[in-house]
Amino acid sequence: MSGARQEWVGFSLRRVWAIAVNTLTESVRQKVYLVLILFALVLIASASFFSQFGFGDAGEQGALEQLKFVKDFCLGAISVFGMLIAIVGTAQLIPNELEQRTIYTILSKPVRRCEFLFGKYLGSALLVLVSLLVMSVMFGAALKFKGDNYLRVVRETVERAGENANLEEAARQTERIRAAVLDADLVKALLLAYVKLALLAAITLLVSTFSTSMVFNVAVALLIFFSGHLVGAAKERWAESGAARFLLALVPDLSVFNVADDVILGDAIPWGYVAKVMLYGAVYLAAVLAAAQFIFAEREL
Amino acid sequence: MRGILSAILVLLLAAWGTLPLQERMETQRLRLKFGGVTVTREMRDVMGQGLVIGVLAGFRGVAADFVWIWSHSDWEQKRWFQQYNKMQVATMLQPRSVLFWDVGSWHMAWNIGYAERVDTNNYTLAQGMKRELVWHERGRQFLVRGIQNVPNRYELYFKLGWLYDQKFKDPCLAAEQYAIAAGFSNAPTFIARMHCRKLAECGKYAEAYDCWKRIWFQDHKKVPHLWGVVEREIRRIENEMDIPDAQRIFPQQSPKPEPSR
Repeated sequence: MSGARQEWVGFSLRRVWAIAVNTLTESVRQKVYLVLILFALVLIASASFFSQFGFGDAGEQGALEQLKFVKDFCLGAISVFGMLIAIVGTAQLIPNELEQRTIYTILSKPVRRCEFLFGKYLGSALLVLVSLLVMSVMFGAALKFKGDNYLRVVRETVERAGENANLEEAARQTERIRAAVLDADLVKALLLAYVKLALLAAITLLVSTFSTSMVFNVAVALLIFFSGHLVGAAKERWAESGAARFLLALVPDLSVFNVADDVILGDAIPWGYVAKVMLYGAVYLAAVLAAAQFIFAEREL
Repeated sequence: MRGILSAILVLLLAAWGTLPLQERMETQRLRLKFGGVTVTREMRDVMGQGLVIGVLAGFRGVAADFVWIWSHSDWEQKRWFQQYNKMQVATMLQPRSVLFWDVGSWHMAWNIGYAERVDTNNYTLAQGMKRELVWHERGRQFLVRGIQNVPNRYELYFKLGWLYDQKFKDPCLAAEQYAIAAGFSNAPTFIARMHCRKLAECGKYAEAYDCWKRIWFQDHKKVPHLWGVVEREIRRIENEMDIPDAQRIFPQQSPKPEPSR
């Protein structure tokens, strides 16, 4: 039986889960993580104040403009800080274990390398999930705060106008503001953002299986993140060449996960599209994790 | 070495395996008009390197908002062309944003146009009016481009109609745009009334009468129109067209009380 196959004999999900929970606990306790999540929450909470830098129209148009800014700003902050948490949180996992020599203690117990690797990845993916949930709750609160303010203004305008109030217009404004705040498609945008971040964490883990420096891991992951967003533009340029398209397919097209802009602009995101993108992300995720396992299984420790 | 080769093989297989899926996603994205921004030189000149990197990193919405807010400072400084350029870039970054097209065209046709007309540097009032017309046209072109990018929302058709109505003083063109806007199921009902009114102003009385009749015969309990206004307009147009009593909705013999304004 080959070494790679032996790795999978007696594979235990319990051990994977134990390593994942331990990784999550360790990561959450780190100051870098706490600083990142704190900054993200402050930024998201302050979105409603930043939004006032717009043209400041007091009417419905101004309300919709500011709600758009809040959504753009919050989803942008979630994307940036999510990316940083996914990359920084994952890039240090293996180098730290090697530096502190704890990996030898773990692997000397009946823990397989694949269990260790998947446990580490699962811990990192959970960290990203927890962060995304916390940031999303804050985003929801900021959006509701802003929306409620505008709904109050509409109500007050109707009350002031008394019998002369244009109830049809007020009802329309209320409906549009509510629709802008309670947009169910935002959940789809956050779901796809999570899949993108989970994939990014897997790519970072793959890099860290053959490198020993955390700085190198972070730098390479960032480069892949940026190039992943350029794949779409490159495909447009070399659309005719099959070979070029295949080479470009080696880098996951991260722009397909970005539907936040389209959600904010009021475009409906079909579940069919979400399913396709999630399938695409899952295939890449599986391939990247498998590649990481192949390299890590043979790595000299 | 075997591990590295296996890793490369797995990644190649994933790339090859996902090609059909990627093509399907691309087709769907094109159909849904998702994303789709290409960084141009003009964009880079206006936004600067930092924001362009932001766009490339997937923060298109934030960059667009930043450029939009930035254009506000140009507005305060009366730098119309810089403001115009930034609005163009903001719409390039988010071509599906109704808000950018709508507010941008309003700035051009109303605010900048007026500011150009009353500019003290004009030698004559005629010069000011000519400059104002240039901005009206810019606002119109901006809205037309907006409609090309967002053809599935009523707002921009309505705004274009409003522009023809208020600035170009062309009720016929305004009526055309109001008709398109009123055709959307979520359009507010006042647009349908504006359409009918502009048809009458355009001199198309028969069409205007049909238009008002279509509104009147809708279910009064379900459709939230200002029914008193509709009745008043129908009476007015019936008088203007001198329609025989037998064919009128509101015969003159037994007039209903005029609705209060």
